[in-house]
Amino acid sequence: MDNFLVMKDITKVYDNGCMANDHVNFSARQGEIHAICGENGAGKSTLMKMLFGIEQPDEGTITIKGKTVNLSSPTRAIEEGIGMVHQHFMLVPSLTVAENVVLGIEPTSGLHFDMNKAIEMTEEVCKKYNFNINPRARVMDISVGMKQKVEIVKALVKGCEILILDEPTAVLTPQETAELFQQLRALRESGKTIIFISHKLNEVKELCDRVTVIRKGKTIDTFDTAGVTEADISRAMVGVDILLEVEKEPAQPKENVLVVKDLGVYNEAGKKVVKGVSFSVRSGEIVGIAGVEGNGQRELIDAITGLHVYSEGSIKMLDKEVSSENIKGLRKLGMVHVPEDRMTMGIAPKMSIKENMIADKIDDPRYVGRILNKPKEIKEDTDRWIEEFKVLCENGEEQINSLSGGNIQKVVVAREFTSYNRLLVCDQPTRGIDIGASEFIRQKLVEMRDEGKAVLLISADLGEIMNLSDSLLVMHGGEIVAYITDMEHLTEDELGYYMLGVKRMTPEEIGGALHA
Amino acid sequence: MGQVLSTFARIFANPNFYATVLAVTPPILFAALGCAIAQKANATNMGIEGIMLISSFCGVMASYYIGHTNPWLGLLVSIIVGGILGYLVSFFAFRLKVDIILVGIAMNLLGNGLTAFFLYVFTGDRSTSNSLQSGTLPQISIPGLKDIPVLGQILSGQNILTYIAYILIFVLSFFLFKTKLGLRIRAVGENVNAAESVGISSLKIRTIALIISGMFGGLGGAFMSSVYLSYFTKGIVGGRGFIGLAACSMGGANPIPAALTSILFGFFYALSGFARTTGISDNLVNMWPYIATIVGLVVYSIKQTNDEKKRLAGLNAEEEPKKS
Repeated sequence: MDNFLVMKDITKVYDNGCMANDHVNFSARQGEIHAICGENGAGKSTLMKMLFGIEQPDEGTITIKGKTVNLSSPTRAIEEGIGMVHQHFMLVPSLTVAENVVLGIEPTSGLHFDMNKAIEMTEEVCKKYNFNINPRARVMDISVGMKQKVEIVKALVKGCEILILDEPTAVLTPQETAELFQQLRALRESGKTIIFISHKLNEVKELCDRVTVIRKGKTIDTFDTAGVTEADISRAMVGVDILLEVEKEPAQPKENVLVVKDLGVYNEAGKKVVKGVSFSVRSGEIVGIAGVEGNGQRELIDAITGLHVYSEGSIKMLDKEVSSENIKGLRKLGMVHVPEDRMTMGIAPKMSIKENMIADKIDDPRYVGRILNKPKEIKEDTDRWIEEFKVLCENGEEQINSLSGGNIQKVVVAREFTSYNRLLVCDQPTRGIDIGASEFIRQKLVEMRDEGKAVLLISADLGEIMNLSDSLLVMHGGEIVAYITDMEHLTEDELGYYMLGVKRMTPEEIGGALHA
Repeated sequence: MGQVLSTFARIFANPNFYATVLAVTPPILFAALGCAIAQKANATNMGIEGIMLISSFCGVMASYYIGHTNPWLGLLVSIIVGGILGYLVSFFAFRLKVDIILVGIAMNLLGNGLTAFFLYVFTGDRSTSNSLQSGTLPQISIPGLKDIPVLGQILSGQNILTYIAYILIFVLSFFLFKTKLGLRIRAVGENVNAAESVGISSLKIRTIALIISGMFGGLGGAFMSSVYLSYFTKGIVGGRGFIGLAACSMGGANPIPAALTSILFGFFYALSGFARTTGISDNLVNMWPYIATIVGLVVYSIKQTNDEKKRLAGLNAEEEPKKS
């Protein structure tokens, strides 16, 4: 049945004017595993939110088994046989597995919540689909892989026919991933339709029957995975095959600006996520950090920028220990930060473009007198920056959240790059923004390097990080597994091996990252 | 020093002291249980003190003007008014999206002002409604038990509402941990997204939890004006709602630990009452329950921090062998 599920001409425009889906067409057969691929911000999640009733489309129709459905809420979606495993688990930690599984459809006997029946229901599904879970265990005590199984069982127990999995392998170990794939194949055999959202192309190739590629809110094409290579899918995702290389001279690194030594960081859950990391960033060079998301980069950057405490080792910015300085002190030393999440960390969304540009300079006597701001000077400089950083806007007085993502990022970059700086920490500086803005920001980064700044660049865009970095650190499992200085001869394949932890350099080679 | 010790020894040897502990605990207990159910839905009912105050006042008014000093009518009205006030907290906090702590503070301020104002309007008296008797709920002697020495003296002959208070500990425990609604309340409180994603309305669940919470406040209010006293007086609740709130959080919002903590506070209330008769300064003695609250909260906080550390240490220890 080719049109078991059909989403036709789906259009969704968010309140801020962002067109997340533009006449997207998607259809899935019964009993197939269908991947949806696309870059971050391509609109995959939006499409799935509409299928699960969390968001409603502005235009377009969804039909299941030929019947048009109105998915106004998750409850409706569940009734139509749709289940979803969210990227962030929707589980209640202190409740048992069985209680989580039956939440919303709790069996009762008299006044009692019927725990035995709940366990029975869970065990029945587990047996039928060959899941090995203890229904009596408390969710807080089980592993991540196990939690994901609970999520799947939760959907199955409600009788779902269509199961959506949003980046399910992002949090799993390779062994857990292999087990998950086995189970998903078994579910396919029993006639379930599985929608698998991922940007790990090897997994898509391995597991899925078909793949639909979405780019910038539009469906590009649907392929049989057997007939295409990973490179084909990736080309469809990115669009143009060529990456516009930024021209740059070889770096002329000088003295150390940032020195990280034997750093250990624990996350909120108390797990050690950065383990014995040592490296330095010198002025006049761009040091890149690559790695699959969730391998400690987040916590490493937060520790360096003073947002997260670290308990082991040291981070020195120009010989000053980072933990003994507050953020303002770090900025005084010349550390600036382009954060990954620009909407919450990078800007104050309801303030004007100019106010956002000046936000970190309110101590500067050039802009602020003893009591009052100096509007003339502020206007002069912000006007100049708007021009220099090519921010597309009317006059800089409008609210910043009326701009597109790319232009917002340019404002953030303009603010950070025009402050006193010695070290630029740039976290995914071009994620989810258009090619033009990306090129501009990359160009700027190289310019800053040539002016003698130290640059620490974190990016999930391998093309970008291979092009821009003068040397590259690869993180896996919270450790640095490779320090690459010969960028010219580095291939994506080789980088991939390091990122996945297949290959690993010797401690001596990695130790080279820390310059005297 | 020796004299003080012997005074205390005399107090502790007196069965009446323990009977008093049980008799003064209920208002704190009602408040603690009310806060516990709200807290389980992650809706801190800061306004419990104000709810107790207003419902107590309304109960007295109803019993005097409508019920001819029938305390049962007063009790019923108190519970209903408490429930309505609980609904109001939920309405403001979750429908109109006001910060729930602010709603609680507003409720407490409202309670003080409103009851003082209407007390004056109805009685012309600014502090007590002595002229408006509410009647008292009956005491109950438990046959069999009352004849056992010491134990009978302590446990029998308490007010009916006191017995209800202690029974409600177990009723609430059953409700929270053994019923469908209790499960949903806990799910909403811990991970509202998880609950919403399976079609549970968090608004509905929290409203129910706060209405029940308010009804507990109503019971506590009724206790003050128809057991503890037989009339309403300004500020009659005297911080018992807040102490209940503290007991609830020290008990981790679980009914039985919260109840035990309430009894501990009740112990200090009783002790201050007894010590007063032995010539220790009133001002000193009156502080005890409150000091106990502060000390209790500090101890609780230290314990929490240690437990968390232990849990984290356990997690990391678990992690290491997996690697090798």
